[in-house]
Amino acid sequence: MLFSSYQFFAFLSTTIVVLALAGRLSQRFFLLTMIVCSLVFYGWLRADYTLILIGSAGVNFAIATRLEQSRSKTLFGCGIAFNLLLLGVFKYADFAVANGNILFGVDWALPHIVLPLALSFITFEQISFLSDIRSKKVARGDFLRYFAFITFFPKLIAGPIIRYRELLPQLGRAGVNSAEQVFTGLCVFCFALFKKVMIADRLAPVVDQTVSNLQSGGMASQADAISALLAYSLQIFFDFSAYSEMAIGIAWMFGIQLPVNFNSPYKASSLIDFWRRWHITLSSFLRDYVYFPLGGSRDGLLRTSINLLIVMLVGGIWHGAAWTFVAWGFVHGVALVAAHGLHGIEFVQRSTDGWLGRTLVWALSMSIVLFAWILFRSPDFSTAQRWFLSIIINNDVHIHTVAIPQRWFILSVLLWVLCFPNIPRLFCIEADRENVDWNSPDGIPPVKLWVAAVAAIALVMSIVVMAREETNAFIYFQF
Amino acid sequence: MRLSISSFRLKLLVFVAVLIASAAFLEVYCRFSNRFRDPSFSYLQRIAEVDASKAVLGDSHVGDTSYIPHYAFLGQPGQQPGELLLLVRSLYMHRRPERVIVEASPQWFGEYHAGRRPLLTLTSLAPPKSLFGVRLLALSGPYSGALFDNLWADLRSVVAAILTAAAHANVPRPVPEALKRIKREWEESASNSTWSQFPLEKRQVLTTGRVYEQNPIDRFEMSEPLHAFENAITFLIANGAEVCLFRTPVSTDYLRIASQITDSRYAAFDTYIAGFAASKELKFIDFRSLSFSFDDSKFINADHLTSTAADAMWPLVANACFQS
Repeated sequence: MLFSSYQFFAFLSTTIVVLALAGRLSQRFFLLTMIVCSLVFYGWLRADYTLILIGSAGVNFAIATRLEQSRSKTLFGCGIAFNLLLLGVFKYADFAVANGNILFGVDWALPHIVLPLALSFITFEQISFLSDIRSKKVARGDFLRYFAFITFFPKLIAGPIIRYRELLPQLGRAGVNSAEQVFTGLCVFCFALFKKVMIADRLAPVVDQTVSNLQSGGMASQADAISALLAYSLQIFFDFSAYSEMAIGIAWMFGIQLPVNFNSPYKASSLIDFWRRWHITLSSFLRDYVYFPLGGSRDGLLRTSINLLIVMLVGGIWHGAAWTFVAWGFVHGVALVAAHGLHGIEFVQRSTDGWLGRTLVWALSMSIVLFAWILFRSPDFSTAQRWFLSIIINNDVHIHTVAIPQRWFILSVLLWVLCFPNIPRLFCIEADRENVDWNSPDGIPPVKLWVAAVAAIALVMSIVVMAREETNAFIYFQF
Repeated sequence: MRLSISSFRLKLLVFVAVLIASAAFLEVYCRFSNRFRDPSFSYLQRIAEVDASKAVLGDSHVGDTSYIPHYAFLGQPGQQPGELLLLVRSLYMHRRPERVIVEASPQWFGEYHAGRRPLLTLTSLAPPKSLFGVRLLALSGPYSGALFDNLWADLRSVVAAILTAAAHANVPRPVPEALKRIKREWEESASNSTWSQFPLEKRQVLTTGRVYEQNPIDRFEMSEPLHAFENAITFLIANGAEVCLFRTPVSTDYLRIASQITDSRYAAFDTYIAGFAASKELKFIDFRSLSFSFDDSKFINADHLTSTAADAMWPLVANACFQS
């Protein structure tokens, strides 16, 4: 079920009423009802996938029960292996077989296993759960709470990736606590919905047409190739940040605060800063559960660089079973290593103190981010190569895939991204999860009057556009 | 605390008020903006709102002006059998048809439909969503699709108008009712408005071109449009409609040339339609069987009647279909 569908509106309205009633009976009944609602949401299209969800949560909880007692390294390893194996089978089987076929010159049939929605996100949440249980950062609690954490529908499909220790304290107080809280969540949702249906979905055809042309062997004009690249950079940001912010809004309706996932990443002052602002919950997961266990930056420059590269490669392959994603991660890894290296040089630090230096660093960082998106969006390397060449070589191409009004639209959206405040700032939501006291988070303060008025307009416009019933699925659903 | 509660109520009130106001504005814009006066939009709007329990369905030969009291006329230039099928499904999915006259003319299967983009699609015919029984145009596929582009274009026009400070007057699009009325007045008053007043040799060239365009495609009896046409009729019958097939009029020259062109399939169509009507036990009225003189003065071109002639002919069709 898409957040940007009438179906979901009906589901959400019903869920609010049902959970408000359930909350009056008892907290356990509230959590149980929330789990049922979440399973309905998840199983809407493929009910059988809920079994994978239940099974996976059951196994992880059982392992956690043992881990809490023994802290066994082997058991922890088994838990990690179980989660990675599950993800590997569903997400990487085709990729592994296809590459095996090439490597060994055999012809095994591709299994064509369909990836259940949310598995990539749940895998990371369960790994962080096992790790936190083992290191005693959080108590295991009962299965009801754990399962409510795993299935909580606002963040279930595509994050933000929240940790058990951040959600568990909130589950005790969760509920449809006040009309104002629901209203505030609704206003956040309206803004995010607008971002998805009015911007991300309108940018999608620009990108799709150009990429389709490049994929079929054609070249694009320089203007079209650049426009499509900008359009995709904006599309993926608006699409994914909209999903995360819708999740934040919906969760707040039930009294639960989710961490902010995007904090104006294209305003980042450097590539290092970009990764503190883009898909924050993934970056911090990779930092805490991959980078730090590898040694982080404690063992010298070379070791730090290798660790960074490994983390970015993991991030790349997590996004999809294709070498283009690995290459995307590699490019970011190399660029981050270079950025960290340069950051340590005093001369470079002094040169980037002034506005000119800062602007140059921003421009260079964003160029790397943008060009890396080529790898991320292209279905194969030859398409990526043609896209890249189309940008740097002025081709004499007669077929144009991006119309003039579309270019104006891209430019307007770009200016919006660079000049206007983001949703967390608009709603005064703490963007840095380290500053949030997850035992008693401040949540989202009541909205201002003008923000409520604009939210109403955003909702009406989004509803009208949704009537076309051409809404695209969220990009991150595929990951 | 009291202040906070009232402040929330105020916000909620503003939210609801803005929600209703902006929704109302968009709906009013859809209904009254000149940018939605395009015939295709008004046709879709008519389909959504008209009472079609008694209807005449076809293409431009039927048009959208009702010539039989209490009958909805639903026909667009170039409408294809596939669209007819979608139309009848859309009209009678939740409403029982009573009497329906369906155009049964060879051009349904004419080669000029090849590559033509249909106006009526599942999306465009999806009924607008209702709120308290009111059908909202803004929430229908085609209007929703064009709404913000049109709004944006109007906004640009307003800005441009302000910037140019009325340097030149913008000519607004005339309203369809006025267009229809003036067109009718012109047809009735002007001596050269009928086909008979057009030079004969030119008439013949245009008619020949038309006859070739509307010649049914090769093996039309096995074609997809024919299946769609038959399915539409079957759907109407299954839903309890009293269906009558009517071959719409063409000029005498048209009929003559139709039998003389290379690979003419008009005669095959006549055979087919008579057989189909008999197999479904439907009444089939050919315009030539009506007691009406179809000389060239009754036409505006080789295959379209003047409004005056249509006014006189359609009641005869209704009589022939349902009175005997």
